[in-house]
Amino acid sequence: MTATVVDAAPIVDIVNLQVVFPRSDRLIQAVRGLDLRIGRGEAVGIVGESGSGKSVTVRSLLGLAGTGAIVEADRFDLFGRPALGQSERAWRRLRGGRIGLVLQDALVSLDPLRTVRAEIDEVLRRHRPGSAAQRAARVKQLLDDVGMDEPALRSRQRPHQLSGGLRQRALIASAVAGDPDLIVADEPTTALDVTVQAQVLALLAARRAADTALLLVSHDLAVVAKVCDRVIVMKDGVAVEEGPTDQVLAAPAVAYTRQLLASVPSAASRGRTLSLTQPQPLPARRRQADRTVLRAERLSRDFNAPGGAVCHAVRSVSLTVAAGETLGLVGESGSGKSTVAKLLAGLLEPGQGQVWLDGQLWAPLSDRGRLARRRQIQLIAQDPLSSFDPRYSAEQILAEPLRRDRLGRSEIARQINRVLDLVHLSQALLNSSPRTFSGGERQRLAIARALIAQPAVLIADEPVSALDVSVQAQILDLLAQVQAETAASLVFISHDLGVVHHLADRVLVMKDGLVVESGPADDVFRCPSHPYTQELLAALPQLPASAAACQPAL
Amino acid sequence: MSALALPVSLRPQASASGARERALARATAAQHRRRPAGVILAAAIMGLVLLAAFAPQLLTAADPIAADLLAANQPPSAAHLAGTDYLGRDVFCRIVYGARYSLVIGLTATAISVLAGLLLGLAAGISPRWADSLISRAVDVLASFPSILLALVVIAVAGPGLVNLIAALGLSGIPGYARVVRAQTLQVVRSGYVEQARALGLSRPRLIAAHVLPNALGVVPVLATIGLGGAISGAAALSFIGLGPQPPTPEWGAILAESRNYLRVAWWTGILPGAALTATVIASTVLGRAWQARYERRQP
Amino acid sequence: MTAVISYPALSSEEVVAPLAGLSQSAPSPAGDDPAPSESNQPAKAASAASRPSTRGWPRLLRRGFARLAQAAFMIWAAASLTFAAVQLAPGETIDTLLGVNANDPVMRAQVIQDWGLDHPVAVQYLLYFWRLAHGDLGVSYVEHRPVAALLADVFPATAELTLWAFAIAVVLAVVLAVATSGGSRLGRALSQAVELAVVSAPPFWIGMLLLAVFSFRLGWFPVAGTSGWRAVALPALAIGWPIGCYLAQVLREGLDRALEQPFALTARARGLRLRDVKLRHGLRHAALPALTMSGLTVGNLLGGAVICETVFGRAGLGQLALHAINAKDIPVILAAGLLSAAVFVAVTTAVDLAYLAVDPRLRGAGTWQEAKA
Repeated sequence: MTATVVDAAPIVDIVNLQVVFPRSDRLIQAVRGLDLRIGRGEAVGIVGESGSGKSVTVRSLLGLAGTGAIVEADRFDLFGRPALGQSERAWRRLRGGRIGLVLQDALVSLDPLRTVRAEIDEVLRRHRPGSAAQRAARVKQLLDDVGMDEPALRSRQRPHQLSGGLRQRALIASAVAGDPDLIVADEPTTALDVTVQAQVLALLAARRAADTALLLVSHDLAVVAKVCDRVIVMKDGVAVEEGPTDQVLAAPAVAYTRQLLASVPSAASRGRTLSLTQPQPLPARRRQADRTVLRAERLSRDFNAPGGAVCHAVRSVSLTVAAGETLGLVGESGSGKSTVAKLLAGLLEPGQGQVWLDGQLWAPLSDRGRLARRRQIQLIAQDPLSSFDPRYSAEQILAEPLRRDRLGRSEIARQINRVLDLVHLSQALLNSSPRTFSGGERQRLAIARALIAQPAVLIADEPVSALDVSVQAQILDLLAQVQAETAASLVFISHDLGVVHHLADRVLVMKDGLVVESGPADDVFRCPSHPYTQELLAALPQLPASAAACQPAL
Repeated sequence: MSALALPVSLRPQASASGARERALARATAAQHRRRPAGVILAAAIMGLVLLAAFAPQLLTAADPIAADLLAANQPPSAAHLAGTDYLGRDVFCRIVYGARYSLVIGLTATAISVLAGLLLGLAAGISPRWADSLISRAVDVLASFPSILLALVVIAVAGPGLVNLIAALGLSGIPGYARVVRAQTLQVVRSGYVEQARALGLSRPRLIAAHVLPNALGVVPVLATIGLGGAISGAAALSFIGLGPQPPTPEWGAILAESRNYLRVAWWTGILPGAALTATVIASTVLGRAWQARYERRQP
Repeated sequence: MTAVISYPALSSEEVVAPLAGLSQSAPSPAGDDPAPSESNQPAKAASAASRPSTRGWPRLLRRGFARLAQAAFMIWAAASLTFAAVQLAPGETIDTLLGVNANDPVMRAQVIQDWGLDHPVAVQYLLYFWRLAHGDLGVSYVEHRPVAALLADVFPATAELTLWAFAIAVVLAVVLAVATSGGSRLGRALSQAVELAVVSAPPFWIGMLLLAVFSFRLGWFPVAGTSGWRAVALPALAIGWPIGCYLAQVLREGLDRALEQPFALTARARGLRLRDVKLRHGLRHAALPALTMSGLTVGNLLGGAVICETVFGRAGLGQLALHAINAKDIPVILAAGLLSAAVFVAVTTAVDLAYLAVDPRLRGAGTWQEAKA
């Protein structure tokens, strides 16, 4: 490849990086004075919440910060040479050849219309030219290297034909095909199931062990902790803290990092608040273990998959929810947990089985028969915005559940104020559309709407998985507090074991539509009996501090 | 992304390129241009067309029908802004009077298409699957006749004339609206907020009245505005081949048909009516799209 | 919204996700829409616990056959519609069919025998289809010739014209879209303004302008005629230019959308030029929504041909149909309508089948569970 005179120089040496995006009416400063150094074979992590500028930073390393981006720095050396303002040709030599990029979710990060082979071959053609046969052999070799089981078969497939894990491996294979000195991975494991995440991280760690430098960007501290030597914590375009991973995680010097660490829900955080700098015990809930509010017996539900196949989304699931209790439902994508939520909420008719609400039959039942009791069970969706009528203001959204009661105007206002207080939303927001709200405010509004119906059971389907850690902490605290004040039961559905362990009294673990394990949260998570639960827990990346403190060996 | 207007103190000391300063200047300039000039111009053209349709006397004093063979085929001048045609009629005057025909035909045809399309699309969207299939297939069959040939068949069977022209145009526009309304309705029916409203105990009629109708139909007036241009242009095409109002009616398509044989000697008779037609279509498209952009911004 | 030869302005509803493509131009009979109450759940759940019973190609074949069956249905329905049009026309059916010759007793007898008018409607209907099935489109009682022969005479000229127009449209669309997507603001705005004007202008007027400039003023092309490339150039341009501009809008939007996708970033991060990313990755994605516009394109090509044949005095389907309308020659008009519907159905069916072949995702087969099994 290119000359190696400057081999001793670090791969990346950037001082005072500034990235600005001109928007129609203002300038947005995405990165403000970041210093970044990556030595040969070093693994550096960048952690930050959305809007921290971490993605823009890694993209600017490839000269692809974005349309119209203005990138400036006091020093911007790649492989010992100033790269800022270099020609597009020079950039294209670096891209793929010396720096490989791995993005989130290969389903969209690989061209969905092309085969894996065509995607990898594209890199080879550009950077490692050879005969067609040589390149084909190299593709096979690369797929082998990333642990694909049948390289020849896989190379002819397209991303949608591969599982999430294989897909991500294919993406990594294409990123390393040019044999780069640095791999830049932007949220490479986000949206992957924990077990797959563990495999992908192991793969990146292996590349790293083979002396390729790694820049890993993630919102998840535990992911970075697993692979990186050094970590940079970013907030609002600034590096607030930087240091060896162990040190930063064990003894964070900056309040923001401490807060970030404290916000991560886990076994250790059970029973205390997440969002306060000084964790407080959560308010006590009124749990009446002997009074069953919701009971499901042997629920099953099939769907017709396209092409005549039948998919058994839920198979013979039974559960009970006691008054004031929090039931956690965990499982990976496609385990059927969302279908269970809809069956319980009466939004989907069970194929078999029954649901009983407060001792009365709830499903199967005609829609008409359920109308009057509908408000007893309320749903909180993952994406609150899509659950609001786009024409409605916050006030109209909150008033809708009351429509059946034909209340006076002042009574409606009183009720609305009551729930606003409960979820800590300002009355000033009432007249605006939720589109102008932040993610946290939207979820608060969704919770407020659920509460105004005064339900006996709240069903929350992944209510925090689209939120940043700090906002997630606030919402989780809110849910706990609301439950203490209203004595409602909560069915909490999540793929995140830490969140469920933090919140739930009892848990059900689902896989392929079946409940594989259930019991009190501590029992299930501390000594899981089913191999699948054990596998899930083993795959979960741990923060060193919390692991040392309170996670007994499995 | 942190959305901060850039304080002066944060500007880098050495902005060698000055790129930031220029970008900031551009952004500040953009702030002042809220409503693009194109939309204002389109609105002005539409206003002018409306004026011509309802009060042509305000724009021209001439008679659109009366011939004056002594003044035939005169190029544009102060007396005849757009010249005269082979019968000596003032072309500008004929264009002005033609606006009424084009607008009335376009509006009524669009109204027929929209109304029928809306009912069909809505019915398909909220009906059980078999009824949806039935309606959708019927719409497909209607759509399989290229619109001009559908209009030809209708006019051939029913005879030429203004009413049949409008009917033919209206009929050929139905499938487009029906499909869009059906797609919108389905999207709303499957949306998170309808599911949420079900969980709140809304009955089905209430659900449809409170959420499905307003959200599915909000886009219809927008599309109708865009479609109006198409209907006007379609009417002109049918008139052009002699299937609309007959000469000497000053309909734009008919004017163009008459001018076709005189292009060599009197180009202005062919250029200006077509330009008026095109400007009207552009205006309704631009207005419709601007409206659509606003509408879509309000969607999540 | 389609209305006679004009082009709908680009609305996002019409350019929605390419995956909806099949149901865009003509939904497949099975209906790809799960019942409303089962909204998004099946798709999600299907990725997990499904136990599909069929494999890739058979399923694709089945969808292909379903699409063909649907095409047959459309042709049948279109033919029935034309039959119904004759029956429902005001006045006696026989007068409608005879047009200007309604008073000729010999021909009256002929028509009664041809159409079986002395039999019940059901028999007439079966007779109509019996003749259609044998390629007999009836007889023009004005021209005294079989309609099929009349159509066969003019069809090649119209086909030539529409094919040229289509070629012009495609080349123009690809060049415009690739050149101006994601590029400089000025070039893009300029191109969009011109496209809007051309799309909004009626093709027959564009034809008149082309005639005025290139034939009358510059004398480069003949004013009328059917032979040689010079005769076809101007009318093909008049039809193809607006269609090309419309498709350019669709393609550009598709390209822009594709370039925003993560895979475009991945491709650029491999060291590809922006232009190569557009050509190798973006264009295929952008072509999918453009393909769903095939129905509209066919309609506009045929409609444009009918009108522009008048402007340029070309013999063809349009001239024939117009002549027939003036002479009240109903059998010819019905056959022309039916023929264009058949062409429409044939083209959209072919495009949908091609779509199935082009977009592997649509096959809905060979997902990873099956590969694993």
